Amino acid sequence: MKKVTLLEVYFLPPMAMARLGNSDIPLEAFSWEEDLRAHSACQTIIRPQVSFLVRPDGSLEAYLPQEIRFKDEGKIRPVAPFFELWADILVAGEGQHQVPVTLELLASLGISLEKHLLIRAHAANTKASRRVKDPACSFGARLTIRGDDHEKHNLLAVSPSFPEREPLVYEDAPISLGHVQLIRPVASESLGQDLSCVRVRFTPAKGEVYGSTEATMGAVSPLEPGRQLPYASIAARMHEIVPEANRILNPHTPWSEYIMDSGMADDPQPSDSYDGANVGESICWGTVDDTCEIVLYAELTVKGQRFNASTRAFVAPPDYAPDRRPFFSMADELADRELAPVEITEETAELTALEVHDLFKRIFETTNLLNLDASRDYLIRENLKRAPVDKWPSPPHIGREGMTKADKPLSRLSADVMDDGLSDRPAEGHSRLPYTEMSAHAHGSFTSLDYLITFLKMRGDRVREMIRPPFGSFKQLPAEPAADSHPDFRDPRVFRDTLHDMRMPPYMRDSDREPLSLTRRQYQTLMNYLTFLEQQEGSAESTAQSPVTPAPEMQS
Amino acid sequence: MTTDQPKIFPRNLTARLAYQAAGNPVSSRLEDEVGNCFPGLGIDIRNLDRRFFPGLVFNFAGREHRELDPEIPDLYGARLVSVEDECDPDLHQSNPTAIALLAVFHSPQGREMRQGEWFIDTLEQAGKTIALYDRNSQGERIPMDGMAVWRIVRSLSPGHVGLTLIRRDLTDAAGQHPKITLNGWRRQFVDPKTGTLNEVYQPGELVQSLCSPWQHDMRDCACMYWASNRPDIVFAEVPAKTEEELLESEDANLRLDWLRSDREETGRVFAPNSYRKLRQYQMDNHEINKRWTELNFALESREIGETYTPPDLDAPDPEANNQDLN
Repeated sequence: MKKVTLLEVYFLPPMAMARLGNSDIPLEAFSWEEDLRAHSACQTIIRPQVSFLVRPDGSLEAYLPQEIRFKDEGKIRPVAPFFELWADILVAGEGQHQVPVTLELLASLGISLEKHLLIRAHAANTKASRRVKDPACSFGARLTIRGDDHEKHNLLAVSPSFPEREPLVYEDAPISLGHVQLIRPVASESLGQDLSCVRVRFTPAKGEVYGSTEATMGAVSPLEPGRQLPYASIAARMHEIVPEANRILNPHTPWSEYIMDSGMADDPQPSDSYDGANVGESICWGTVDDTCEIVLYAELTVKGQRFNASTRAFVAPPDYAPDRRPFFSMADELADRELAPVEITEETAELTALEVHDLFKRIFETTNLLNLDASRDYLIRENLKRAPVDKWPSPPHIGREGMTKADKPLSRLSADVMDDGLSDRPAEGHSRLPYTEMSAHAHGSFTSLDYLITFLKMRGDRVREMIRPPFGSFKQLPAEPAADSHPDFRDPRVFRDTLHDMRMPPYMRDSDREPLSLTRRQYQTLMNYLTFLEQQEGSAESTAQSPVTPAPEMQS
Repeated sequence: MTTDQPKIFPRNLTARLAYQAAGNPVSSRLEDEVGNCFPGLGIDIRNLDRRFFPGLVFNFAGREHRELDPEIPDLYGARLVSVEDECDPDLHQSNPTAIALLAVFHSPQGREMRQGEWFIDTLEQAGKTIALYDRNSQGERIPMDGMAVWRIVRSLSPGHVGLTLIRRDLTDAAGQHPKITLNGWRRQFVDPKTGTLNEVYQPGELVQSLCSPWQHDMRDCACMYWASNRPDIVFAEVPAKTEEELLESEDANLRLDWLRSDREETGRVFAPNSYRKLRQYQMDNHEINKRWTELNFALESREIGETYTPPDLDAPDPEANNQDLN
C-alpha cells in the first residue's frame, strides 16, 4: 500500500440552503433540466436524482424516485442537505489528490471514525437580539458528535445567561432548531454512489412560531405592505398569533416591548419586519421562529495533528417554485463581490453565450410568477410620493406613463398592446394582467438561443437602453455626485437613480429598497458580450457581405 | 427530450460551490436563493458588510422616507457598534497591514473609539475619497442615510481601504468632532480556496436581520423580487392527465394569487392587478404563521397537489413531429 499523507480536510458543499418543513420525511433529490419539447417553450423543469433514505442504523440506502413528493398529507417536506467530508491527500509516487473521506481512506491513514473524528455543530437564531441589542434574546444550540455516533441529535436551543438580563428562551423550554446526524459509512456502492463516504446531514426545524403567554390573539393591518394602521381605524381581522403549546418564551424581555425606529435608529432595514409592526404603536408581539444559521465542523485527528473543516447552512422557507430560478441569486451576489469579471475571448465566446442565455432564461422563469401589474402599480405610487412626476419629462417615465406609449421609443411592444385604456392605471373590475402577460410573452422569445444571439447581435443598442445599469463600483463613483444620471452606472447619491421606471428589471426592489438591477458582474458580462458580438460582426462584414436579417424587436 | 445545456456555471461561482452533493435537491444550492435582500428570506447578505473592515462592526442606520429631511441627522449613517479586534481572524496574520492595524486597535486611539458614537466619515480606495454626506432640502450638509452608505460600502472592491471615523457626540475646544483614520482592507468574504464564509461571521449573523417570524415577511414584503421562490401568481391546478386535456380546460390560463386565503373553489379567481385589491383576499399576518403549509407548490408555473411527476423527456415529442411534417 502506498503511503498516504493527509494535507487538508474540507466539506462539500461549502455552503447550502436548508428549507423548513413540518413533515418527518425530507425532500428527495432533483436537478434542473431543460425541457425542449415543442410546446414547453424551453422551460427549466426538475428531474428526480439519486436520493438517500437514512436507515434506522444511520446508514444510507440509495434509490431513484420516479416522482417528487413535496407534501405528506399536507405537511411540507424539508430540504435537509447532506455535507460530504473531502480531503486533499498526497500519495507517495503519485502526487496530490482530492478525494472523499471514506472508510478506505481512514484505514490508509491508520485512523478510525470512533477514535479520530468529531463533528461539532453550532446553530443560532439572533433575530430578536439584533433588534433589541441584548444577547440574552438570542438562542442557540451546540452539539458534539463522536465519529461512531450515528443517532439524530436534536439542536435544542436556549438563550445564554447573563447577570441582570432576562433570557428569552428558558433552559427548561428549549426550541428545536433541527437535527444533525453523522451518517454511518458502509463499505458499499449503490446507484453509482459510494456509501462509505463520511457525510453529515442537517435537517432544519418544522417551521414553528413561538411567543410568550401574551401572544394570543392579535389584530392585523388590512392595508398594503408597509402601511401603518393607526389604532383609531382598527376594524381589523384578528388571528391567533402563536398556538398555546408554543407560548413558552419569557414575557419579560426587551423583545416584548420592542418598537421599530426608536432609540438609535439603527434597526435592520426594513425595520417593520416583525409581528406587531405597522399596527397601532408597532409594539412587538415578541414572536420568534425556528430558523437558524448553522456551522458544522469536522475535526479529524491524524498522528497528533488536528485537521479542521467547516461548512454552513442557512435555514430558509420552502422554495415553493423549485423549477423557477432567480436571475439574481445568492451565488451571483457572492460572485459579484469576490470574483474577477468574465473574460470574453474567441475561446470563451460559446460558454459566454450559454451563460447569457441562461441569464435570460432565469429572467423568463421569474417573470412567469411575478404579478408585474401589481408591482408596477405599487412602485409607481412609491415614486410619486417621493418625486414630482414632471421633473423628468423624457422616457423612461417615473409615473403612470411608465411602460406605456408615453415611454416610446423605449417601450415598444407593451406600448402598442397597452394602448387600450388599461395602460395608465389599474383596471377596476378587470380580470386581466396585461403587463404580466406581455412580460412573460416578451421574455419567452429569448428562451431560444438562436433568437437571443441574433437579437443581441442586431439590437445591442436597444439592449443597452433597456437594461437598468447597476450601482457603480467605488472606482466608477465620482468623489462628488454628478447632477444627473450616468448612462453606465447608477450612483446612490443621485436622486433620479433611486426612482423606479420601466428599464429592466422593472418594478422590483434591490437590497437597499432602490430599483433592482443585475449584479455589476452580470451587467458587465452582458455589455462586454454585446461589444464582442459587434466586433465579430464588424470583422465579418469587412471580409464578406452578410445576408441581412430583419432585426427582432426588444419586446417590453 | 433534453439537452446537456448546463444550468450550473462554475466560472460564475465562488470556490467549490459548483459541487453537487449526492442526495441533495437543487433547491439546496445558493443559485436557488434570491440574492437581493431587503431583507431576504433565507440570508440577508448585507450582514457581510457590517464587518467589511477587519476589527470593526457597523450598523447601517437608515430611514424609510429618505426624501424627507431627518429630524436628527446625526443618527444616520454607518454607526460603529463594536470593536472586535481580538476575535477577528483577519487581524491575526503576519502581513504588515494587519500588524499595523492591530497596533492601532491596541493604541490609545483604539481605546478612544470604544467610547461614544462613532460613524464612518469618509471612505478611500485607490486614491479616491468619498465623504459620506448628503444635502437636505435647505442645501445644508447632513450625514448620508445608512442605506446609501451601505451601497457605497458594497461598491468597494477587495483590497486596500482607508477609513475615517468621526465621533458625533463630542466636540473639542475648537468645536471640531474627533476623527480617527484607519488603513485596512475590504475583507475577503469567501475563502478563495475552501469556498467557506470568513469565520469571523458567527452562526446566526447572516440571518439576524431577517423577519421574525419569517412568515411575517412572506405575507408582507413589497419588494417583488421573490417570485421565483415565493410566487405572486400561479396558474390554477387543473385535473388534466394529458397536455390536450390541460389545454382544453376552462381554467388552463387562470392566474391565481398564490397567497390567497380562500383555498377552496370560491377562491379560484383571476389575481387582481394591484396590491390594494389583492390584500383583503390574502392570508393575513399571524394567520400565515399557522397556514404557510397550505400554500401550494408550483411546478411549470402551475399549482400542484402534493406530488410532481416530471414529463417523460425521453419519449417521442408528437408536437415536434407535427412541426416536421409542416
